[in-house]
Amino acid sequence: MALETQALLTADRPRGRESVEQAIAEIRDKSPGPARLGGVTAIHHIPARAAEFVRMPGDLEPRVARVLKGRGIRQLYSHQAEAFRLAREGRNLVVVTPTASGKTLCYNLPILDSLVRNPDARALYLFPTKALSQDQLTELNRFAAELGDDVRTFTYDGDTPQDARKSIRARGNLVITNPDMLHAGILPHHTKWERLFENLQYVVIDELHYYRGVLGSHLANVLRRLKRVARFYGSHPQFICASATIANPADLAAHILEEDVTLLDRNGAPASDKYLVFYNPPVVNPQLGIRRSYLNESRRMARTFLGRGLETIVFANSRLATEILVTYLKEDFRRAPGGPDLVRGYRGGYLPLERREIERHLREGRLLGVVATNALELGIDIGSLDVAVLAGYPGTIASTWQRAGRAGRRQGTSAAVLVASSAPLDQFIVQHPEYFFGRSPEHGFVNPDNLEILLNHLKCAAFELPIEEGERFGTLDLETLCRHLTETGFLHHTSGAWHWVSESYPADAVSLRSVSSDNFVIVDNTGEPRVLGEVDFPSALTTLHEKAIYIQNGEQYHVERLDYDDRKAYVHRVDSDYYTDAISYTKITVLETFESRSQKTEVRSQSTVESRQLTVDGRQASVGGPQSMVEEDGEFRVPDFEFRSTEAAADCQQSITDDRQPSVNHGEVHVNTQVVGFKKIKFHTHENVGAGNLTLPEQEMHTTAWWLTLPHEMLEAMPYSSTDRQDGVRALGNALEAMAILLVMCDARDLGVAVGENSRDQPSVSRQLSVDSRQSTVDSRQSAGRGQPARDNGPMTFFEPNIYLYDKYPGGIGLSAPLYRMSEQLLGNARKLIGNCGCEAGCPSCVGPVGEIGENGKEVALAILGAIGAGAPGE
Amino acid sequence: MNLEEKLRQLRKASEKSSADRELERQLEWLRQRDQSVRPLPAQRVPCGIEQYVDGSVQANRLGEYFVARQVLPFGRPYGRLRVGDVSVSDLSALEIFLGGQFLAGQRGGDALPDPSELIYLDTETTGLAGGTGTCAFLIGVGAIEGSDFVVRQFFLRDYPEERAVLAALADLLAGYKGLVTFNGKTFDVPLLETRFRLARQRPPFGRMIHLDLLHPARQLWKLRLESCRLTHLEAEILGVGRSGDVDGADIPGIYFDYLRSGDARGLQPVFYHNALDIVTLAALTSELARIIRTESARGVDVAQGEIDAAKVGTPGESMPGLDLFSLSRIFERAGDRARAATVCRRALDSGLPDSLEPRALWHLATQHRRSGEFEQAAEIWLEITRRETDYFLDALEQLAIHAEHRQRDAAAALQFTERALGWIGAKAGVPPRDGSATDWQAWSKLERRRELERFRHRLDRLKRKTSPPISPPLL
Repeated sequence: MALETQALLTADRPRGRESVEQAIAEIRDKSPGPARLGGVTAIHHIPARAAEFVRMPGDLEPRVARVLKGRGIRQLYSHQAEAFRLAREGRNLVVVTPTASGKTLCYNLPILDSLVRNPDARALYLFPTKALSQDQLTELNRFAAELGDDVRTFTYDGDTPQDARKSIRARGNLVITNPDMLHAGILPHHTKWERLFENLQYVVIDELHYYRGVLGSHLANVLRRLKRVARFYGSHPQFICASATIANPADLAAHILEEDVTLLDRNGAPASDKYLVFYNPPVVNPQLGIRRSYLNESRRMARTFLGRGLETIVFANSRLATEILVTYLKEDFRRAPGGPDLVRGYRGGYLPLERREIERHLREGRLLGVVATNALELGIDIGSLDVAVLAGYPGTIASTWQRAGRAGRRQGTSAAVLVASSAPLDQFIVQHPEYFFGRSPEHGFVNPDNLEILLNHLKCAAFELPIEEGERFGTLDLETLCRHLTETGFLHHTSGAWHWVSESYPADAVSLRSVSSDNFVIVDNTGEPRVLGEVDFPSALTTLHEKAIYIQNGEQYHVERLDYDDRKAYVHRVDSDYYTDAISYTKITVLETFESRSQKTEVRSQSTVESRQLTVDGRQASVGGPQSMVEEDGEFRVPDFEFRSTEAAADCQQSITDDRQPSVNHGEVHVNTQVVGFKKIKFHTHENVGAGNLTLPEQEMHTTAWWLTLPHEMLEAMPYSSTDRQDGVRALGNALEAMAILLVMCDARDLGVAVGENSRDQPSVSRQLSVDSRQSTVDSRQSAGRGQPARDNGPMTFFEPNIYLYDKYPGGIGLSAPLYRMSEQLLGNARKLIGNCGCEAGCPSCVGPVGEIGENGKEVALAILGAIGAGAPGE
Repeated sequence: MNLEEKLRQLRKASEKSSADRELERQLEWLRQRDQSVRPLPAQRVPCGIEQYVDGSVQANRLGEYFVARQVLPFGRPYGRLRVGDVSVSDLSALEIFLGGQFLAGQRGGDALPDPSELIYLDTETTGLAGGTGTCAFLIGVGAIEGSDFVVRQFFLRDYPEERAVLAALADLLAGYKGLVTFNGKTFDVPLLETRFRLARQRPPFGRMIHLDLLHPARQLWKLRLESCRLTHLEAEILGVGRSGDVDGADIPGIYFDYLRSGDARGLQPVFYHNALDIVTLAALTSELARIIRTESARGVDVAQGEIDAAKVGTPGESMPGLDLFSLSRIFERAGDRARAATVCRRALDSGLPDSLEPRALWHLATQHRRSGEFEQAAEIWLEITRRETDYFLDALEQLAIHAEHRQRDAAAALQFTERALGWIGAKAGVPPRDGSATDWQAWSKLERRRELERFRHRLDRLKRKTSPPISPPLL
């Protein structure tokens, strides 16, 4: 390293509170105007907190205590001691602590203690990724080496050499693996793991919050199988989970483990003095709601800190963004002492050796700045830095705290700066810091009894051990399920048990990570035919249809043929100035309403049963009712609509009969989607430059949905044209979707939004045309609305619209019921999002661009939310 | 109970049934969607296994099971052999395969038990996937009893009989010291061990000497035969023709159909297939032993210069050259250099394909070199250098070493070295050893450079030796 660098890294380096605070002051002072237009929206100060130490537990195995002492640990943080005590009592635990609070000792301590006491005892650690396993292994090995021969730790995953596996199975008493390996490699071969299962005392699940939605639902089933196998060998393992801060850690753990769980969320670790700054890039085009590039602003922030010699980590949300920022920052430091080598990138795709080197240099303080993806967010030890700059909201509050936790010195002050992008979630968070800093609103949900997931794991379970009559596996009726698997040829029922009777290895057919194992292979025919990659089934239909422009690694490919039956797409390299956006047609049929309630302030006290009754009656009453009414463009504007008080609005609604009130519902729906065409959209200008028709097979799925019914009478009473009303409904759908993703912490791909007609007949059939715009990024969403097919095909009139948010996974992954419970929050947040957005008439940050939702979409969406009494308008 | 409570209960009850109906409806929908499902065979009148296979229901402490028993008298012909050959043949020649790698989990004791103490085993399973969900539904074993070869086949009429079958099998195996299988080390034995563990019984294999015939068979016949599958060996080596056999891939399906329908008709060929596999396994074992025994006797005779075909009693024609070469490699691996050399010489004499001849010569020379017979080795190396084959450079190098260090003839060594260097320089286009053209570039860069350096190094040293010390350097 050059001499100058050394100088910058040590002597000349203003360290600590003053310079961090100076930098923050500089950012704040340069920040323009009112919050919604941009600038710093919050500076949150977390004062340093002293550690809460307690004495080493008296019943800790002396050898373990000695090793801890040798490593300079003479007392424990209070939560570590508490975890030890509870684990020794035999409780299942979920430990919730922030980053760098000595979390791993919470589970390592009781486990090492029991492994040292009992040489036969075994423990199994589950980490969501291989990199984390590797990191843990290094740490544990150091510990184990000092304990002598008693603790033999091994990782067992896809990379474990074949010849090492046998000895791991026999000798390892602390086995580190991941759920995928447990599912496909360990459980189906449990007889080879006899020693482990006979003596399995502890199972550790780290990063529990990571297991939500589909992955979590799979994990719950893998654990059902694990417990079944352990029972066969006579063991009943105890579970210790660790989770980042979410709203319902104990609840999530209880649903995944299906056991009683004790929550431990008091944190005795010290905290350093820290600032959290929220920054919204200023609006440069108020009409379109366009803000300054968040990447450029992140670069500016990083430069402000780096220039003061503060060690800074910049988190970007994609590999591409990472590379862009590295390039920018290296450019900034080209002439600085130390040069561009002071800043490096870190992401998946770098060679392991290079990554290890960067990690080491970070720990040793030999790097000033690093730009990373979420690859550095979890567990990996890089020491602590002065500042974290988050280029874009990481998607969840939990993950934001984890990234921010990378900055934090024992001594001195650190800071984390969140630079918001223009995505709706980013905008909501940056404009509502109180939401972020308050009690975590994020919930992790799983649905282990999703029929498709459950059936797949039931097959695996039967492969592992015959399923006995009277056994329990989930909450659904096991006999019915086994009968089904018998009829479909997988099981054979005899003498009170179901046996696996198929040649296949069922675990191979189930991938825990992807929604479906039914992938399309992309074949590039540009030169010698080669496989370019794979795309999962749902995305394939919208991105790999014939004539689509498929984009991978920035390269464009023209899809020449889609072989639907063989699941192959043949593509050819092109250089195109447009991209394509599939138009899909979605039809939603409500099969059963599980719960329903009027969305009206006055009737909130009504019991669910009553409101349900009313809804049913209402349906009957209205059969053959005013469905044939043709909507007119009502021009009778009510002048004081905007200013009407809540009570006045309520009075107005009171006069409407109960079934004509707006209602929120959740239940079972049937979704038919078909890709019917596509549009060609020019890069940069987003002009619609052509279109085409497609006939792809219709996709059907049963799933669950949350929906909002807006009564015809209510909409008609609003002073807008019917086109405006439709636009408003669609605009509201977009905003609700963004807020739902926030509340249930799911991936945007897991949740679909659709608007359809509410028929008061049962079942109700709704039709709509929607643009599936989730091709890749926010960018495509921005462009999606142009030439909205509903407009192209003439106005569709909704007699009474339903806005659906449905689980995009057959059978549902358990998002609808929680959404129903959180309806108030959902609608209230949507109102805040739209109300506080600085744009004039809609932008990608709130309800979608004007091109998609029309001139008045935003206004109508707000009016609807007002009329149904959603939350309080934003301040 | 008041009305409200009653109503609530009523609602609860109806909800449950509606949930059940809903589950049924979804399952029905899944059934329709998953069209890959094989249609179930029509329910037929159950026709038990007893009606199709000769055997009886037995019982032990764990329940009933079905066992088929077939007795093959020694006199019965089996291809080119007779069943009785199994009992009289001296299997000790096979001990050559019981060195380290063939004796998984065994320490010491590399003596193969007497033929009467061996049991031959083969299973028919519900699949090849392995893991806990694959089951051996038919376990066939064969052994000598008096003057018969008896095949017993334990059959699961249904899954619950597995415990009794495994116990019966373990009881039977207890009377034998050695186990012979075909691919049993990888497949049958681990699978059965899993079944024993699942049935909470102790696997009986630990104390047995296990000879897996797949590996010896491959070593001996791989060069000549396109496949070393058991049925192929049976036809090629034993001259047995099967008829009415069933394709192995269909077997799991046949058993599943039986489980569902109760009709055992389809299983008859499966029993036949399994029984034949066991008899073939036994016959192949004795044939393999006979070949090795015969050839090793002949090998020693050749070495001693007392060829007497009548004495070793050759049954019919002599062995094909390819097999002889394979056999010489078997002797070589077992450390029997004298036999390896004689058998290899015979392989060469009986004529080998051009592609193999240099390799055989090379191995022959190596045996001589290791036995200290350097002059014989050198002759062969010279023979190799007459043609520019894969072993050309290696032979020249050996010759150079031989000349320099043993014959102390630096000038001759220099000659060989210069010839090698000349060849490397001239023949840049010679393909690498594996013959693939694509590897040539890589080879020419790495391998050739390494060889070049080796020879150059040798050249420098030899030049220093041969040149008078005062001469100026030639290069």
